[in-house]
Parts: sequence; C-alpha cells; structure tokens
Amino acid sequence: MLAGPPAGSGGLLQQMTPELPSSVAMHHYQQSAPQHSPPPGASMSPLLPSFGFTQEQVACVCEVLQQSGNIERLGRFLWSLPACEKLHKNESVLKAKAIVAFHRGNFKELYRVLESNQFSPHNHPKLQALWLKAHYVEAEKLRGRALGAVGKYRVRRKFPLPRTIWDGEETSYCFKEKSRSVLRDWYTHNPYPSPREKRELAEATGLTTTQVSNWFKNRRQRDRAAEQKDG
Amino acid sequence: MQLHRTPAILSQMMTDSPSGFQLSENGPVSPVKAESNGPGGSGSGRRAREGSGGGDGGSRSSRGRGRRQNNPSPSSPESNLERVFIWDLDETIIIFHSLLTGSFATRYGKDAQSVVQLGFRMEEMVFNLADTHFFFNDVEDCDQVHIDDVASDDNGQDLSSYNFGSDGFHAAASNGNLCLATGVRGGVDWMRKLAFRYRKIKDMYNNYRNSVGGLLGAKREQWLQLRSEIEAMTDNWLTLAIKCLTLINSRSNCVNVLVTTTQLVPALAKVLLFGLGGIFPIENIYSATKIGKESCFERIVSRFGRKCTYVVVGDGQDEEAAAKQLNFPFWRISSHSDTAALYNALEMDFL
Repeated sequence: MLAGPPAGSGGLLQQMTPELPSSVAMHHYQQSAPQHSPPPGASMSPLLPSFGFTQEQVACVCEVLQQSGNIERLGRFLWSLPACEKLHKNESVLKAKAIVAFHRGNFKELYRVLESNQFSPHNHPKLQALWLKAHYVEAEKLRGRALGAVGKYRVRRKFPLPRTIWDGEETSYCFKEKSRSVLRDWYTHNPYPSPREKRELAEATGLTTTQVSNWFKNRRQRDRAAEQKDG
Repeated sequence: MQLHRTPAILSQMMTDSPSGFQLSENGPVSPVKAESNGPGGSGSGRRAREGSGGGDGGSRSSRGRGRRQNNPSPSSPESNLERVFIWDLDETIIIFHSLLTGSFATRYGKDAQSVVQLGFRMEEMVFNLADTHFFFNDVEDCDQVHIDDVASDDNGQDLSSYNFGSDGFHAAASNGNLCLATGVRGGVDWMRKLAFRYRKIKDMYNNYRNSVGGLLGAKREQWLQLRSEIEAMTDNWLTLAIKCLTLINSRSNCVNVLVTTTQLVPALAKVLLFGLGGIFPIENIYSATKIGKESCFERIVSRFGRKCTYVVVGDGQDEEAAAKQLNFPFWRISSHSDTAALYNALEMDFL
C-alpha cells in the first residue's frame, strides 16, 4: 500500500483553474493541497522552494528512494518535508523514517517509530527485519562478538516484535495457524482424505496438495509413533 | 506474511556489508537478485517471456519449428540503468479520449461542442495514419503487444519493392478466425507477410518519428493547426508532460516506456501525431489490450531486470492496480498540478 490512510489518498486539486496562465513557471506552480495545511508560509518559505507535493506524491517519492536504496537522499527528502502532522503519519513516510534511522544506526529512533505507529501487513516483513537486525547488532556490541542462532533466539525472546509490525502469529511453524487448524479439524474427522479432498483442503488452506498430503502423512506417522511410545 | 523468511533476509544483509548494519545502497533489499544485467541481454529469456503471451493473436507459429532469432530490440541498457518510468498514454501524457467523450469539457468548463470537434478531428487523423501507413486494416485483428513480437517469423528479405497491396495477405486473412487460437493458421506464408508488415511499420516509425510532417504531406498544416488548438484548449497539458519525459530522457540512467490500452498500431499513430515519436523509441511502446497492464509490466521487468526501480505514471484505474500488484510506486496524474509536481520532483532529483 503506497498511499497512506485513505483520508490522505489523492488530495488532489478537484478542479483545475482554467484562468491560470500557462506561462506560469514550473517552479512556482504551487498546489493548494487542502488535505494538509502547513503552517502559513511554510510551503512558500524560501527555504522550501516549491513544496507543492501531495501526501500521495510524498509517499511515492519515499517508495522510489527506498526501492533504489538511496537512503541518503531519502533522509534529505524527509528532512525537507513541511512540519505537517498528517504528512508525517503517512505510512510510507514512517517507513522511510524507520529505514533512515536504521541506516544511520539511530536505533532508538527506529524502535520509537516502529512501536508508536501501526503498520499495514504489507510492510511487516521489512520492518520486522529492521527491528530484529537492530537488536541483533546491539546485542552483538554488548557481547563483543557475533551472535549465533541461540543468541539470536534469546534476543527475539527478550525483545518480542511489537504488534504494530507483527500480527501475532507464532512463527516457529511453517504453515499459518489458520491453515493448521483446518488440517487438524479435518484430521479428527478423517485421517485419510481422498485425492479430491486433498485438493479441496489445499484450496482452503492456501497450500499445495503435496503439502497437504505430507502434512497428513507426517501427522499419521507421528500419531502412530506416539501411540507406540505410550504403549 | 511469514516471519519465517526473515533469517534469510538478515543473513543476506549481514554478508552484504562489513559494518553489519548497513542495508545495501545499490539496489532493492530483496534477497533474490539477478546477478548480472537483466535477462534482456540474453535472447532466450526475453523470447520465452514474449512467447508466453499466449493471447497475442495466435500469430506465433508452432513451437517446434526452428526459428530465426528475434529481431533483437536494442539490448537492454547496462547495469547503470537506475529507473524505468512506465507511462500511460491517454489522459496522462495526452488529452484525447476525454475530448471525445466530452468529459474534459465538463470538467474544465469548456464549450462541449468545440472540444468534441477537436477530438473527432484528431481521431480521424489517427486512424487515417494507421490505415494509410501502418496497415491497420490488415492487422487490426492480429494486433500485437510489441512491435517485435512477430519478428521471428520474418525472413529479413528486402522490402523496398515489395507490394503489400497484392501479396495475398488480405485474402488469406479474410478467411475468418485466423488470428485466434494457436496453431498454424493461414500458414507460414501468412505469418511471414504479417511479420513484413510489422517490420515495415517499424521502419516507417523510425524514419518519420522526428518528422511526422513528412508523413502527412498536404495535411501537415492542418495537423499543426489542430495540435496547437488542442494545446490551447488543454492549457498545454502535453507540453508539460513532454518536459517531464525529456528530462527523464536526458538522464543516461533512466528510461521512458509507454504502456497503453490502445491497440498497438493506433497507439503508434497517436504517438507520432502527438509529437511523441522523438521521445519513445518504438521498442519502448507496449499495448496492453490483449494481455493487460500487469502482464506488460512483467514483460518490462523481464526486459530491464530487477536491479532498477520502476515508477508508474498514470491517471488511475488499471495502471494503479497493476503497479500495486508489482509493488511499483505510482504517481497519479489527475491534473496539471500533478504533472508539474512530477517535474519538480524530477528536477530536484527526488525521482
């Protein structure tokens, strides 16, 4: 999702002003962007020459600079934004801030941004990666040497992902809880689904039929093993 | 999304940089990256891509037959290509369709009659050009996505004295349903004639792209008049768009690509008639009528690779949806100010 919250999408001029002479120089072609009202004069200030970007356009620039890895320029762009609350709460802008903070090693700021704003699922993976990496790096600095798998596990336990960037799904499983519960339910009715039923299950769970087959096979095997063990 | 993937991403990031917490500066953070230049450089990658556009009118011969190498589009720019701007045509770069429907008049409070008239006059020129010079009558039902799509059926023979009017293409084509379904309909012969036509179109475009007047002969004055009337009516919409396009073209690491829902041949005519021929090489023009914008975008990515960033510029609907699907940033054009803002963003080096 590129644009921010719905209220901010578009925010474009509803009407052109036909009387505007077409000789108006490009630089000074301001947009009256009604959805964010900068402090009077902010967008006209000589320091911010032609800040005539809508929220959506700001978000677009943030995305482009992020995707191209131009974090320095992204930082400068963010710095040049007018002090408008709504603008700064735009998700693409926040994401950009998080990335810039990470890039600069300013982890406190990174955590602050990640924890105080809700992000849409689309952005979760990237932001989770930033969170974890920052924590790993800090832990390594404390430890004085690189972290192994166990070390990282402990870091993850100590600094669980904030719900702003995580949907709470437990992650030590390969399949989502939703899928697994569908499979489990089915298993209690019939541990031997037919090929067609497997296909239906695959569709219902978003898995492939092979995955469904394997899940059942493994489940049966493990049940059998458990039974034997119990005697 | 599963966090499951994260360890892979992180170890990628870790190995990328010695300092340990820099994200890679030079490209998207995705761990899946093509190494060298995009597959555009290798013929097979691209050809597979284009061949799989199954809906392209069945003009592909059966796969088994040995094929001549595709007329290669200019090989994709080296890995210094940073950004690809994917433009929509109607209502983004040019105002045309909304002239005809009257919606432009309504929106901007102009006189409906005169606006629609302008639209009609331009439409007539577009189809005249398409029919006269681009074989539109012949190829209308066998329209392609891209000018090189049938090149592999070409045999490269000299066309300077070839008589398109009497080569039997039309007779064969009027045999109904030739361009649907796969298979060798009309035969190898017919395919080759189709390829000749597309080659001829390509040559025409390349010869006249910077001197459309030459193509129009007596109608040139009329055309220039019409163009300036449209510019005046639309408050120099096109002029503004051209400024952006030109700025992008002036950068060696950026490229402009056009994806339109008009059929390819009329689209080429539009491009020429609106003075955009000098801006878009014909190989950078794609028609989404058959396969949709998203598939076109995917073809473009196959061509230029994943190392560069893509920006979609359009007036909404299809291109926005397609951009979202592929996670491309989208710049919406709804009015002059949006194009002006785009120019500013380009000039300030933000895009």
